[in-house]
Amino acid sequence: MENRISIESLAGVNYLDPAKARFYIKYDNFLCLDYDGETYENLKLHRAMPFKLPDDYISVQDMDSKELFLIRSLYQFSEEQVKVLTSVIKKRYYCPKISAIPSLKAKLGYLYFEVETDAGHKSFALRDATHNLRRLDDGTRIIVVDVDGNRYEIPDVAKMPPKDFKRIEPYLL
Amino acid sequence: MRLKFDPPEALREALAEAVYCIPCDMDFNGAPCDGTVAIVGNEIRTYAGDVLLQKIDVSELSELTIHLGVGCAEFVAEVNGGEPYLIALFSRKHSERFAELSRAMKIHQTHNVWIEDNDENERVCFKCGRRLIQGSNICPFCSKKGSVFGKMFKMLKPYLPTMIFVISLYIISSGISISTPIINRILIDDYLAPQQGPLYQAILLVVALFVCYVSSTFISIYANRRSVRVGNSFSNDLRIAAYAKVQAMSVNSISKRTPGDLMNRITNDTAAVQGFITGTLQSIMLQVITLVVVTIIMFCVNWRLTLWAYLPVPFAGLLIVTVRRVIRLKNESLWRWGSRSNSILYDIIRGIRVVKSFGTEKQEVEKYQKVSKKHSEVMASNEKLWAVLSPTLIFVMGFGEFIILYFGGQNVIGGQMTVGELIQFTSFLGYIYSPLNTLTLLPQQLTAFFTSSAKLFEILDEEQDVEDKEEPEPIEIKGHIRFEDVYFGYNSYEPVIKGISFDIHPGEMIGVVGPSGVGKSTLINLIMRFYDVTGGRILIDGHDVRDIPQQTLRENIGIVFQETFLFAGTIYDNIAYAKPGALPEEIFAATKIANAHEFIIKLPDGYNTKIGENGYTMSGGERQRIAIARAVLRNPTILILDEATAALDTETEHLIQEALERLVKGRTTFAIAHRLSTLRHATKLLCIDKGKVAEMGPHDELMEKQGVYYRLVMAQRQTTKMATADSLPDKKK
Repeated sequence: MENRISIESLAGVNYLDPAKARFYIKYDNFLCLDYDGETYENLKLHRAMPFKLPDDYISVQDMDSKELFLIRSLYQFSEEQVKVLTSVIKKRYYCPKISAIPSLKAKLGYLYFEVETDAGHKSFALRDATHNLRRLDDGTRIIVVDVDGNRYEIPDVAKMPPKDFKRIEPYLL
Repeated sequence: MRLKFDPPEALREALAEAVYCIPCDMDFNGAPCDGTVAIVGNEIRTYAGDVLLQKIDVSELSELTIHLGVGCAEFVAEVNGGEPYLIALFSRKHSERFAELSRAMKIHQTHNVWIEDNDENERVCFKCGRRLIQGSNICPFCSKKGSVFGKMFKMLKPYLPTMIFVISLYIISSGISISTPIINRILIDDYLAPQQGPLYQAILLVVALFVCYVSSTFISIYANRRSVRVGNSFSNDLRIAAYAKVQAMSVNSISKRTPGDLMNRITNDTAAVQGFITGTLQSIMLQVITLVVVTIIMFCVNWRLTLWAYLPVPFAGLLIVTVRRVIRLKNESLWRWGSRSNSILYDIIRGIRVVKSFGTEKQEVEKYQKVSKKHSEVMASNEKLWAVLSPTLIFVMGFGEFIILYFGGQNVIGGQMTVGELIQFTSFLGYIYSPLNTLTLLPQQLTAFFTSSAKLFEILDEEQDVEDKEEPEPIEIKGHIRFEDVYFGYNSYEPVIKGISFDIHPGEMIGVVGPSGVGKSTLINLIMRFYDVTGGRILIDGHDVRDIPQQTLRENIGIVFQETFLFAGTIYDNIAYAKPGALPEEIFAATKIANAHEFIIKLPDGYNTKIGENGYTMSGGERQRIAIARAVLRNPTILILDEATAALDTETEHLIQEALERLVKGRTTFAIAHRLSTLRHATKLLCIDKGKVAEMGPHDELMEKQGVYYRLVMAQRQTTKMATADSLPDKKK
């Protein structure tokens, strides 16, 4: 059993070696990478586990969504490189944080929210609360996905004003 | 879609001449901002607040695309022959609008005109500004409740005479019932208390009482029976109307809803509406009439006592209003946990083989326990509330009886009232408190009725997005298919097909190849007209598919999918599904061509073998051959094979290939396949990549070209070890 080959060695995931990599922004807004003598342009970053480990296991993909490398952790990079990478991730993952829910109305099986977020006041509609109001981690962190595909996060639902918590509680599983 | 919004105050002057001006809520760093993207002259400008971030001439941009992020999207283009250029970053709320802007810019680049914007396809309620749900044009906040009643009234029209008759019976029954306290009063005051008057008169009154009870009961029973009959017929009409509408809806409209949602509307919502119309509505009308009549009688007897009797009503009402919201939320929570608990059970039972093979029974039990515990906690909390609320309400309302007894007793002692009158009064209390109790539930019942009705009418009133022309010309389809610069996307901001053109002549076989997810099956959806193209056109025998009646089009197309769906029923019924009333000879011919006859005839029940639950379980190859027989039976002009043999073993595939070879002769065939060997008879191969035609031509020509198709073939040779060139796709003339 000890001699069994590990599946990691069989899988051939191309983990990126931070020592050989230099990320930079070109054409004002687009991520590029010099790696081991090669240059890659117009790259996209995808989090493998956006909720649990947002800063680890980040996939570096080309424009055709083909994975070129997998970054184990952002913390392997220098501060300057982390800045470059997080600025790109920030543009791909937009998720305002909800601080208050002044109104939540249920109509025809849809939920209509009025919320205060760190990106200002938002109003949106939500279909199928069972799937689009997701409890994460220990159950106090909530992700809300509206009918347009916008995402919102309630970092800790237990810390919301009691009135607001009561509004959302019946819809949480 | 609207593209011209009022610019923000600070930009009013700068954007006074703007052709389009649309809001945008993120800056180039991904931070929220009040941004604006505007077209002024031929320039596209991006602002964050009143700061101009960039501007560029539209003619310099190419490859305008929307890239979706998570919760956001970006509008990008290429400049200087390939450099990426970010035009705007925005939340998903704006994706469709930017897709429309992109379309307008492309039209301007080719035709030098800016298209007129409009409010079509806007997913916002213009009255309240709330988001409309995709697939629905009704704002639940602004839809008039009266209009729901009006529509329901229209559907109820055939049943109105019976309903009026039933309600009249209820009123008669109730009237008889109300008369009993009056008879009681006469009996007590005139015959029992002073013990005067002839005995036979007293006996007559007792008989009258008995007759009242009996007649009221029998009338109620008869009315109930009639009411149930009307209710069932009405709900049957509703269910059939909803089901017929779902059948008539386009694939696009259906795919926007889950099967559960549609089933709910056809079954639960119709049941809820039936319950209200034939149960609640009649009962409410009856209760209101009883309440008014009894109150008038009570006022006539003693108006002061009547006012005292109504004293607890505001308190009970206040109590109900206060807890109503809590009850609704608790019910909602209970429903959710119940549904979650059920879906976990369903999932585990369905996947029991996986659970057992991985030895995770204990984990699954723990998972279910956790949800079940929460469900029972919510249920307990809900029941606790009801356990307190119901007796409290009874107590509050019952308080009225004490008040009446106190003041009524004083009146009797003082001689202003007789004992019979007091008893009659307390009996009437039951008649007013019972309707009042029922009416307190009215808002809840009305809400449930409007919710279900609105959901039903949303389906019944939905406009068809794939509609037949008003007077389509009947045509005979010969099988010439032509795609002219076709564009299509399931979402407007995500095009799947980008400017595809090709021509298939009658009797030709075209093989469609390409990696997964490039739009091959979408081409089939468009030929079948499950969806309408967003740009360009598809011609069949020179007619735009939108001008051909859908029925005619689909009658001439036979399709075999990778995943075969067979209905519960016999093998014969499943094949005859393509041509109801087909003769056995036709069925046998079809199964013979499909290489299915041999295995069917060996079954003990032959063609009468039942498929599915409690019936014969067929292998993948057998199911597929039945599906082919079904397609053959139609004798279609156009044959579509969507990965028809992908999931089968080599031997079965060989059998099916043989069947297909017989089938494609003389028909226009459109075949999608990953296994390139299955396309060896194709006249032409269409190689799709990223929604565009990468290559097109016969096998030999594409192999010589050494492009995308060549690479696919070489990759398949390596993986399947198809060593010789002969076993590879080889066009036979």
